[in-house]
Amino acid sequence: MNTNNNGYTILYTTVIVIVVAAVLAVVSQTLKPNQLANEKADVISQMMKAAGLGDKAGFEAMGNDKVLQMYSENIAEAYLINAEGATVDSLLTAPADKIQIYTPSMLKAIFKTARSGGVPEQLPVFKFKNGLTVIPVYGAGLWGPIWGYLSFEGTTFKGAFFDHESETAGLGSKIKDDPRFQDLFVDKQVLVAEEGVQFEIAKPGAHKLGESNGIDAIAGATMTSKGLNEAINLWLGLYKPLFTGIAAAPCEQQHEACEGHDCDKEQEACDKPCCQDKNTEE
Amino acid sequence: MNAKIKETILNPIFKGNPITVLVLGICSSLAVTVTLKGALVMTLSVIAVCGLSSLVLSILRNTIPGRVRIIVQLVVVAMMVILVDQLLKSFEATYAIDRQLSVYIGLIITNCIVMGRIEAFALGNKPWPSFLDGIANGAGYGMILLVVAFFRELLGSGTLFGVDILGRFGYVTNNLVILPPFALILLGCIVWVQRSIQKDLQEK
Repeated sequence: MNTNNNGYTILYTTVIVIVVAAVLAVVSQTLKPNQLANEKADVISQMMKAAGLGDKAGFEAMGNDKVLQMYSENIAEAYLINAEGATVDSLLTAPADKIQIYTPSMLKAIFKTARSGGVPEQLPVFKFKNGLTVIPVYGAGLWGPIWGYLSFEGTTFKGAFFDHESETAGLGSKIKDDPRFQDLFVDKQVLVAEEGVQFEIAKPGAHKLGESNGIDAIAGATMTSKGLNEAINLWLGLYKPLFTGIAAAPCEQQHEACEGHDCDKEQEACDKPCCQDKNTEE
Repeated sequence: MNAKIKETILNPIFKGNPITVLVLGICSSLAVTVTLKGALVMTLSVIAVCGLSSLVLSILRNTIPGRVRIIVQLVVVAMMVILVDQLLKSFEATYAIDRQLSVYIGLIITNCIVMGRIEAFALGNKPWPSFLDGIANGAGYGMILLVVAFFRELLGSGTLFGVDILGRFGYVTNNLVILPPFALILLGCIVWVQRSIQKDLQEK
């Protein structure tokens, strides 16, 4: 057989490509449900890690079903808010096969809208029964996208988990692999200021905000740290109503310490907004 | 087992190792050897891709038009790699590792060992020996990968397969070991050891 004439060559390549395409299409369709289930369990375990319900390796060992079950048991409510902070829709948290979450690709869409100056219409908020609220972040690292979840109570972070697609192993990948880095967020506070809600990841000595409003960047991973800093600040900005709502709460709730304070005597306490309120009231 | 088959299997493991003797597949051996777990999954993936691609192309070898044979090889290899990637993504046990290896599974397509063995062996031999040749070369590659990963994980993170080994003795992890250049230094040392054992590899 002459395998070198043009007709045969064209026919051969056509057949090969069609066969390969068909095989891949079938395999992709068959495996899709499994892959989506894995991704869902992965995202949920990341949120639960941020909410302090366990560590990532533990969730991986549990298997998908138990992760989903644990989520259903621990989530209080999940809903979507708009840029003004009003609830626009709710997300299903049970049964296991109907749980609605925000995957990184969905976060990417929000990120793109926000980065190009637009206003995202829907932002997911996850409230857990332990009182922590989890919000996602998504941004650009050095080599590819980075994303993660932050949990907070009031304006104080209580946990974090970050993931990435292709940050440098051993350096930028520490945002995911180094629990010590994620633990730095615990008990740090966002700064609710006129300009917006802020938090800072910067190298030691280069912090512009207060000590409690930032953490140290990862040595050797400048670009990843910078990307994470930008991502966190962008998303905190999107979720501003969530924080300003807290900051504008009645002063008794906000600064319990004000109770019983003599605002005239204690200068420090007098700087607190609630004391200022009290002073003006008086 | 006849001598030729035995030679086909054993040669790539040491005497004709794809990494240390043929110097193929260097790039990925620098990239995925930070942890043993990653290196192991990569090894198994490359063995599967190498073996199956060689098998399929050896079956097709007499029908492939000479002028487009590289393209046909590439299509088959790419299909195998995508299959492996899709499979890793769909099992609970391997999903996390696939995420960790990220682009490097896809980059097996560009691994010179796969194409190299197809060009050099599978297109001129029967399916069964070709299949074994692919598997053996994948294993030869993987062996070096695991050796490099062993030292890099131990010295770079103080762990083996994620289990803390040196950390408990107060070992301070070395960041240089984690960076790709150190893998190249290690590879150089392995080549050095092999050449001092196998004198016929030394240039006069």
